[in-house]
Amino acid sequence: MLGLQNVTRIFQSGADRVTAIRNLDLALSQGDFLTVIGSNGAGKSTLLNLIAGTVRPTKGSVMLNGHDVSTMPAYLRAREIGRIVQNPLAGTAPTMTVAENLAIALKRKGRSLRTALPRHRRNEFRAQLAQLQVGLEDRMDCQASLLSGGERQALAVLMATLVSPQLLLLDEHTAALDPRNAQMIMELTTRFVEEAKLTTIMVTHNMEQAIEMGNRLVMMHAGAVIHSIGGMEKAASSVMDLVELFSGRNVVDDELLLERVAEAPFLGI
Amino acid sequence: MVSLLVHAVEQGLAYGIAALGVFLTYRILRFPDLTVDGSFVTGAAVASLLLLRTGIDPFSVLLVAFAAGCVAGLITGFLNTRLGITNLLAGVLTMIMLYSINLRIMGRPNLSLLRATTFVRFVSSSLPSIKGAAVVGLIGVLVLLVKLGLDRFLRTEIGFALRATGDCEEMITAHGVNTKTMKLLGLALSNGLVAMSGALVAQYGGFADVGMGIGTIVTGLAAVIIGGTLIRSNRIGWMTTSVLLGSLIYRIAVSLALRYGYVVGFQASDLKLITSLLVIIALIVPYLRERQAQKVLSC
Repeated sequence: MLGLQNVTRIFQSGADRVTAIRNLDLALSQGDFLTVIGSNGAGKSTLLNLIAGTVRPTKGSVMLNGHDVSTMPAYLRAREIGRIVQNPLAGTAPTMTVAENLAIALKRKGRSLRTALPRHRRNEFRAQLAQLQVGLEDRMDCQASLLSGGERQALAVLMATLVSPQLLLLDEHTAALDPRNAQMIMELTTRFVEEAKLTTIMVTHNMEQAIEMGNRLVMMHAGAVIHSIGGMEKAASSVMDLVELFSGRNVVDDELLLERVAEAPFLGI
Repeated sequence: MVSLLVHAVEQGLAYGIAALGVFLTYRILRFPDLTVDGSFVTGAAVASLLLLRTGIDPFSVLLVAFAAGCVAGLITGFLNTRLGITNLLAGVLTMIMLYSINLRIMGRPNLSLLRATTFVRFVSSSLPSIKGAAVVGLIGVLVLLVKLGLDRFLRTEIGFALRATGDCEEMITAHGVNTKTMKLLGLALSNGLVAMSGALVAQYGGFADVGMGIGTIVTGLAAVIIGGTLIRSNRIGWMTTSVLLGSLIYRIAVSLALRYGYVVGFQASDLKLITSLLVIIALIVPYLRERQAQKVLSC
């Protein structure tokens, strides 16, 4: 359903050139849940930007449902693609209320001069907000700017999945939260993805998460996929296997080592 | 004194429509649009010319002025969203272009409406017994209709998309909205309202002058800011009410200053200086407060 064919993206600023994505091929089938890991600068976010349309490929093509969408603007692709970003502030309109934000999410296309938030819709929203279990159903007329980071991100998760997108992009969407909220958001995400059987790509820094979640995993480095596993092989992998893969390729960096240390207590190593 | 206040209220309401236009760009769309200094005159010029040359009635002419203002707003929007000129510069460029265009429309710097059927004359000939009250009442009804129409629009699906465009472009793009289209729409509506206000003010004052739009952005901001400090609300209905209230208070203050300002040595020509200083103070107070707060936070 999603295909990237020989995609290259070069960023140029004056005489400086950075190849963020290099000859990348990727194919996703309906219902796939792909996790993407890699160090900073590996091209993970650029990959999602290329799919969402906020960045266009320098070379190659992006296919969605058999159509070449390489030059389609981001707002048109957004009709089929839901996205949650790292910054909780970027997922909601701050001066609009919780209910108003949901009303925006309800219409991905064909906006008209109909009332955006009729009374009967508030009851639907209340029930949907209750699923989040963070008490937002009682704060529907509260401005989004007054919510905590975790609450705003929970709202963003609901907004991105309120109308099931054909593809859901998660761009380190728990990285800016404290551990408790990060876990809450991850549980919500898992539940919504499973309920609606959403095709999903999740970028994460957390190797444990990358292994636990989804049915496929790719590891990126310097703009390319250096390792790709799926199915049984992925299920049988451990964080140590992934770290070894990195070492084997001589691509271990401080960041990954630090994460390995940070995860060590949980893994008993 | 009473007639001074009545005139101030009438002006406050008539300029209040322009303030709603400034509110739409400055507060809702977060686009500081300077086009308004030109589009206000465009509305006055188009309305005056039509009233003098054609048999158009004094109310339909407001709609024509609105349409002319929309075109002015679209020019700024085009410069900004399609040609990448920054928002302030795009507005300034259109404003300057409009200066020449307004002169072309009027044919000279000043048009008198003494011999035209303005809405003031229309009211005094059809309701001669209650002339004074009818003028205030009529402006009031017009302004109320515009306010309610704007409120209604900002509660529609498209209105929500427009508000979110000013709030967070990244978020609303991710929900399928073309922010460029929204900016074009917002600028068109805003300048349409400003031009309509210009047409109303010209009819009320009995003339159109090529310089009558100078400072529209500042008086509009003054109304938005004064109103915003008196009524603090994020509900659309209250926000537009506050803008109109701000416009009323501003005009009353101006009338009093013009009438009694000589006591402390002010001249009528000091008005724009004083208004701008007030807006500057109103703008920097929250900024300084925030900076103070950040100093504490960053330690």
